[in-house]
Amino acid sequence: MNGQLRLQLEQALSKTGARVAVETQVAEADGEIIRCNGVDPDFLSHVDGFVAGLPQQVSRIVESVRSQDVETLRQTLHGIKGSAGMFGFPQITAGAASAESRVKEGGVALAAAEVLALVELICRVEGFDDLKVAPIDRESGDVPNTGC
Amino acid sequence: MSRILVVDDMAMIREPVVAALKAKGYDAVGVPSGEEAMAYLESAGADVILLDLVMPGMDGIATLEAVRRLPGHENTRVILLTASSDRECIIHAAKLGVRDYLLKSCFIMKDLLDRLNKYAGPAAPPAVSGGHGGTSRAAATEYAAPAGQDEKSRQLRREVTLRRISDAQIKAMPGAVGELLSITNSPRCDLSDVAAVLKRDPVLSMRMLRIANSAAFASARARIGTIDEAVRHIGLREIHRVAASVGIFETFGGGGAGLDLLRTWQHSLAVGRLMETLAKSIEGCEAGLAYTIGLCHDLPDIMLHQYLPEESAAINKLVGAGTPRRQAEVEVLGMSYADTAKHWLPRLRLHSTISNPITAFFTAIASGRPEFHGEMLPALLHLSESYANAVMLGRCLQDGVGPITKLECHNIPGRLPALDPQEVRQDAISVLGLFGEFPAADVKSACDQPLPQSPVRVLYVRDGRFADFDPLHAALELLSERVTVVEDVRHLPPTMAAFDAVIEIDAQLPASVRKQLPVLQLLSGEGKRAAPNSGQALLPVPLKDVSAFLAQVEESMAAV
Repeated sequence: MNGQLRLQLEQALSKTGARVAVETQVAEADGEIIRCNGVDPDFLSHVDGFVAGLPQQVSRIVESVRSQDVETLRQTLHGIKGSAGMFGFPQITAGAASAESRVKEGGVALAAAEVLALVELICRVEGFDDLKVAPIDRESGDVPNTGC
Repeated sequence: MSRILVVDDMAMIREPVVAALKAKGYDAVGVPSGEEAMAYLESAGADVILLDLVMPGMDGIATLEAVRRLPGHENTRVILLTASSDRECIIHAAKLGVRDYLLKSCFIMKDLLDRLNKYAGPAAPPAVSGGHGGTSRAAATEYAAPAGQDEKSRQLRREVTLRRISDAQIKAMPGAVGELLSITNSPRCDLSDVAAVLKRDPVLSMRMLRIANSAAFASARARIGTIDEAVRHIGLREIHRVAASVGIFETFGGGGAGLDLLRTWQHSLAVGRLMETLAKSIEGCEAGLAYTIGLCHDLPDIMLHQYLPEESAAINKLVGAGTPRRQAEVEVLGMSYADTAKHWLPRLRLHSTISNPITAFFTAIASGRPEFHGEMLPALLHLSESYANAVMLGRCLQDGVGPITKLECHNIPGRLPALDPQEVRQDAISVLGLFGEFPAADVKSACDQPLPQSPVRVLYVRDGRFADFDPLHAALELLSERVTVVEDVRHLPPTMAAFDAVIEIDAQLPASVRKQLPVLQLLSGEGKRAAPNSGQALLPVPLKDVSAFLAQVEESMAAV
């Protein structure tokens, strides 16, 4: 995860009362590139499209954390949980499932560590372009709606 | 060409699925919301809907409810394609007729195509494109056995089965029947009490009068016209059996789709009679209660046919195609029949003295270890059921038969009586027409032994692990000309001239015997495998396999 994105996310999370920066740095230090790990041949040609759509998902996560929009965050995590497995990224499915479950339990603040860990995972996907993540100061309506 | 409507708010899921379906030859259309799905269905229709559960706005469940309200789409097949395995949602969807779901996180096209092939028929060749082929909807009552996603699928089916059991509107047992069972199961049963209860229920009264005037109880006296006379005529010795049978048949005798009612009641009556006979030989064991337990033990099967008819038909189909019954049950219901029985029994509102031993019996059967740890009535039920199967009074001939180990009946005190398999058959069948009121022709045909007796003389070699009460021995008595039992392979007869075939259990027969006679070797114990074409079979062995072996022997004898 690039420094700017992490800063944005951590700032957004800190407003919810969460303290997660240390864990994120540790996770990043251990990080390796995540590659597509087996996909149905019928969906092979769509893997690139899935990866290209990930920055939009991260944008939605960041924005929903900033605005503490629990429902949008939950829906986004739910969408990532389903699609990542379908396109051969089971680690991301697991991370999203864990974050979704924490959001359901206690809202954004309780899920801060899981959300950061998930974004960290997504940023390690081969081909992920973090420059395409929408800046955080945009109005929420400007964040691309991927239909999650 | 079948039209598939894919409803998912996520374009990254919806579009690849639609593209893949089109490539396979389906007319696939994608929409991003429940609202658009409804608009599309109203204007164009679809044969199968692939529906996401979690969507903003109108979610999957709300969409499903709206689809069911839409004229012409009450029975349209819906498959859930979801990231969620949320139990409540899936159960709710199941109540709205959804039998299948696919998890996005482990989704593969093959799973989806297998289901579409069942519901909408095979896809047209991919080269063909064009208009909507229309209305190939599968009948709503057709059961589709789910494929793939094994454990998740099984859990879903189990949840659906349990929910349907708890939702079943089971006919309440008339108060008089419950009272009758209670009175007649008591050792202090009094004829006047029985008559008083019967008089309160005109249907039971009528049935009791018919039975008292039937050939089984008829006397030279004039026709019996009152309940008091009928009860006195039947007598204290028989009244519990007659009253319990009349009450149970009156309440639950209606059967269900695809149920061989005659065979089911024949089995229940046989088990009841066997339990009663065995109980009489045990001091302190209430024979009347034992009879009622045997009679009621298979009510869960009747419930299954009445309230889950599609599943029952699917199980029968799989069994007919050669799938072992237990495997077929788990495949269709997500659980074995023995497991479902434990959930049906509380719903039948039988007295706990009747339902508790039956529950204990099914619990042991479901665990695969029929050991009853000091409980006598469940153990007796196990013995009686095994014996009924052996004398061809089981629910089906595919049920396996084997000897009973001493461990299985160690808590039954004393020595159990020797039974005559022919008499047991005749006794059970004779009361069929009486209590079940089946047509005489059907009862007559039930008298015929379903597997033939062959003129083969069998040497049956087993060992000291097994109890004297041996259902397999009873089966061999019916299927062969003569059976001689040897308890120890070291004590074989000096000559084999008096035998045509050997059936042995785990025995190490001398090679000299194997050279002389055809041998069917039955293997007991977990983890054993019968080698193909080796003359081996696993215990419990289906009677038709034993019959086929004896028929082969008979054929070779004829050739010689």
